[in-house]
Parts: sequence; structure tokens; C-alpha cells
Amino acid sequence: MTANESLIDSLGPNAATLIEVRFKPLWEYIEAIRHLGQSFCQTTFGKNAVSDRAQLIIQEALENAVKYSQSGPKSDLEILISSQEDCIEITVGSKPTPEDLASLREELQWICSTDPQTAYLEAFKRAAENPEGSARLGLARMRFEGGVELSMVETGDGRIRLTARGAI
Amino acid sequence: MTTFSNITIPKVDSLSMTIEGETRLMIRGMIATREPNQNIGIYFRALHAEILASHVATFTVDVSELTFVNSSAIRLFIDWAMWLNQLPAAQRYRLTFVTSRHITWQVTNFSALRSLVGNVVFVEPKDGTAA
Repeated sequence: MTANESLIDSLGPNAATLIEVRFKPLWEYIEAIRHLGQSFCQTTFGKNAVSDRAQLIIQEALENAVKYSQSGPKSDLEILISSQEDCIEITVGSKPTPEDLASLREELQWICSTDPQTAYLEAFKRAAENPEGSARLGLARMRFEGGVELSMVETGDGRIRLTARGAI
Repeated sequence: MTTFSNITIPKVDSLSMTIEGETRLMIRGMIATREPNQNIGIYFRALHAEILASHVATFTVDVSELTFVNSSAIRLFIDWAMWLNQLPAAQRYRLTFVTSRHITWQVTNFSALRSLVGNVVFVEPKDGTAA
């Protein structure tokens, strides 16, 4: 790898998984994983804008996953950062409660049915009109500020994988 | 003489808040705690009440060195703007956020806040013109 070549270039155009971490759904771990992901993306892509977006997406996705994960000794979260050609993907796997899964489905459907800026402004308005409720800005923020599209896969065992995919 | 400096500033990891001058709150660092409304939000509310009690015409919050926040922290700024927005116009003070154009969350979120309540919140980029 030359000094001007980013790590992802040396991995080739079809590079897949760059990093994968599995951990307990504890709030205290979010900061460490966020720092790891940001640093990793900075090293790999060599662009502050990409690592800053990754930091935001990791924070918001993990906050949601920690808040809404089922508890128990076998409960865990996984985060996968991967890259293919000119896109980065950040996937967070978790096992939400059935109630939270239903809310997540509904929220994603709403957010993804409109353009990112409009969805975020609507989320702002909703937060402003419900001062006692939770902010619920995270997903819309990931999409708008993070510059990614969101998708969710339910794996059949109650687990989900939320993926944020955007241009590098 | 205002009494903003008499209001206890909460201790939060990776965050520094100081009252500078008479009517300026400087916030440095980052906010990524789970429930910032439980300490920072309470502090903002106390400041808001004191600003009203003191009949201060303008108050400035400098976030230009607040490098990273989670969405729960963004909610704090929405709440502050809404407290102000709910007041009769004659009771309002001018709330200005000093921001950095180089920090993405500030550009996107204070623009969104302006679109929501641009009549009560003003944004002044440190390296640009006021809005």
C-alpha cells in the first residue's frame, strides 16, 4: 500500500467485511464501539467526512439497539462494518422486544417513504410537539445527516439486522 | 446583574459548560449520555427561568466547540426553543446559537431548528453571517 492509497483500495473492489464485533447490549460499551468504528473508518477510507458519518450512525444505531434489546444472559448485539466498491455498510444486529420491533417497522416504513430531509424535519416537529416523549430522532437523523439508506431484515429467530448503506 | 453563574452546572463526562460574560453559555466537548434531559436539560430549564426572571433581552449559547451529540442531546435544544416559542412574544428573549460551519451536526440540526421556530431562535455561524 502506498502512502496515497487508502486501505480499502488495497483490499480490492469486492472487499466485504471490514470489522465485526459482538458484545453485550450495555450503554457503557457504545462509546468504545463508536470510537473503534470511527477510527477504523478513518484508517480505511482516509476521509474525515466518512468517519464522522460512521460515528453518527454507529452511535444512533447502537443506542436504539441497547434501549430496545431483550434482556437476558444470551442477549447480545453485533455490529458489522463492510464495504463494497464505493459504498459503506454498517449493520447492527439485535433482538428487540416484540413491541419495539413493531414500532421499529412502523418508523422505518414512515421514514423511508419520504425524502431524508423532509423525514428529519417531520421528526423534529414530532419531538417538539411531544416534550414528554422520547426524541425518536435517531433513525431519521441517520438517514439525513448520515447520508445513508436504511433497511431491516428479520432473521426469523426474533433477531433483526438494521443496515445503513451509503456512498463513501 | 444576572445570576446565571449561581445556577449549579451539572458534571457530565466529556462535557464542559461555563457562563462567559453576562449572558453567554459556552458548551465544549460532546454529549452522548443516555438521558441528558436528567441533568443538562434541567440546567437549561433553570437558565431559561433565570433569563425570564432577569428580563434579559438576549442570551447566547455557543456550541461551536461541541463536537458530537446524540439525538437525545439534540432534543435539549428543541425543548429550549419550544419553551421560548410558547411564550407571548412580549416575554421572549432573543436566543442565539453560535455554531461552527465545520461541524456537520450543527449545520444540519440548527438549520432544522430554524425551520421549526425561526422566529425565536437565531443561528450565528462563527465563520459566517448570522441567520
